[in-house]
Amino acid sequence: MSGLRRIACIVGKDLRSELRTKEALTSTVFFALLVLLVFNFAFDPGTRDVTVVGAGILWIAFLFSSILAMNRLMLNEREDGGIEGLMLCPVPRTSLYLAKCATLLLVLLASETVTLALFVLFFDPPLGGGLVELALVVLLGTIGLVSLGTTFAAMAVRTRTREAMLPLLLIPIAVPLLIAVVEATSAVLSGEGLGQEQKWLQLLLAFDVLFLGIGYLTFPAILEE
Amino acid sequence: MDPAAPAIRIVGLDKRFGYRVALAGIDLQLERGEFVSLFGPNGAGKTTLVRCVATLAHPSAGYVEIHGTRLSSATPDLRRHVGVVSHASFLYGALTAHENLLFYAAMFDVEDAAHRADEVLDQVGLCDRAHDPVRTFSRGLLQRCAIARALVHDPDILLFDEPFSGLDPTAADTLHAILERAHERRRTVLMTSHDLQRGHELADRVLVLRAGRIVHDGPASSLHSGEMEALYQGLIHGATA
Repeated sequence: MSGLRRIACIVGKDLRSELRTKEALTSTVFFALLVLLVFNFAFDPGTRDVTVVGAGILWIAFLFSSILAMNRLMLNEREDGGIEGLMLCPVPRTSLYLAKCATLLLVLLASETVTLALFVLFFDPPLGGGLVELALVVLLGTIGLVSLGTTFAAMAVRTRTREAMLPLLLIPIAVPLLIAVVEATSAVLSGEGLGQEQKWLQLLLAFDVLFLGIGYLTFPAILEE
Repeated sequence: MDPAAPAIRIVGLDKRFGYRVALAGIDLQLERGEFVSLFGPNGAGKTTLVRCVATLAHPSAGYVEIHGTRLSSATPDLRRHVGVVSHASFLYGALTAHENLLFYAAMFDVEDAAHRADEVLDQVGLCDRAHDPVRTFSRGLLQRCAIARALVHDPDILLFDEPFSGLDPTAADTLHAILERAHERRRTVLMTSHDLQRGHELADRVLVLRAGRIVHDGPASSLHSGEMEALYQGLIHGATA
């Protein structure tokens, strides 16, 4: 079996487990719903305000719900030694990183699709024809979060304070990513589009490539004691 | 892979966790088809030794060879030769026993995976629970399923870390028979155990580990079961007295 097929096999196993338990999906969607509800009550923004604060609200919901998913998925893998079972398989451990990233990405994109629909429902942002651009920003931002989150979740899950440890590790390093996604999302929501904001897309791309590379190279060492 | 090389060769293996020394200068060789039982009190380093050979832990010093190839420089394909039963089951609770085995069979490129999964589930007496989620299993059933997982790719080296723990007498007898059959088929087995009698009965060679060092290494046939007990007590408690 080729490396890619083995990665697909691991992702298929993870998704099957997740679809049975829905632990990560349920918790992330409900958490995002709560965040959106709180901001909806706090700001009650009109269309104009949404273009100013909407991007921040959306990415706060995405960020914190993604942290829940990262912790949940890695904890599932740690329970009863699942990740060690994978380490015993004839597959390079760098491939395990890619498989874990792919699973997390798919779970987060599913959760973010629901969150985005709820955001539109609650805040009625003037998306216009910017949906494709918004999807691109969300995809690039999520890949960045996934690349960092998979690495840090693998570290944090071995500590007793894993729930606190993951955001402490993740958020400071994700600051450039968060600035870029919020700026790019603001540009889309304000109707300006990404034409004038290419620099944020470039930053997002650079961030994704850099941290996917770092995660790919360091994940085997993180897995071993 | 060197066909003349021993199945497992451990050279100067040290493993430290911070200041704590888990293994100190272990030198050990297991010939192909040899069954070695490893005894020792809790904390002696048995599990750490198995984890180093299984590539789950990286040695602090020294190295391990499987069929003449160093693990540190080995390709992942070397792991095809090894089946591991440990304290953790390495199974996924949301999946059924059969699905777990199919997953591992796919990862190890086992041909006719469904048939092989049924075969090993039958060997461990789990056919009637094959399609139940593993998270509904008792500790003993989980251990049986973990044994089936370790056997699914028919490895020629078996690393069994206290495999009898949690098993009822019937399941323990089944595992005993599986290990005897593996021995007959010239599989190399390294088994840690607290069950001196069973470990001694099965083994060609017995080792005793204390505080990260091998303090006894001899053929099982040179000792009667009662002598094994006396030897072990002398080595472990004699040292602390």
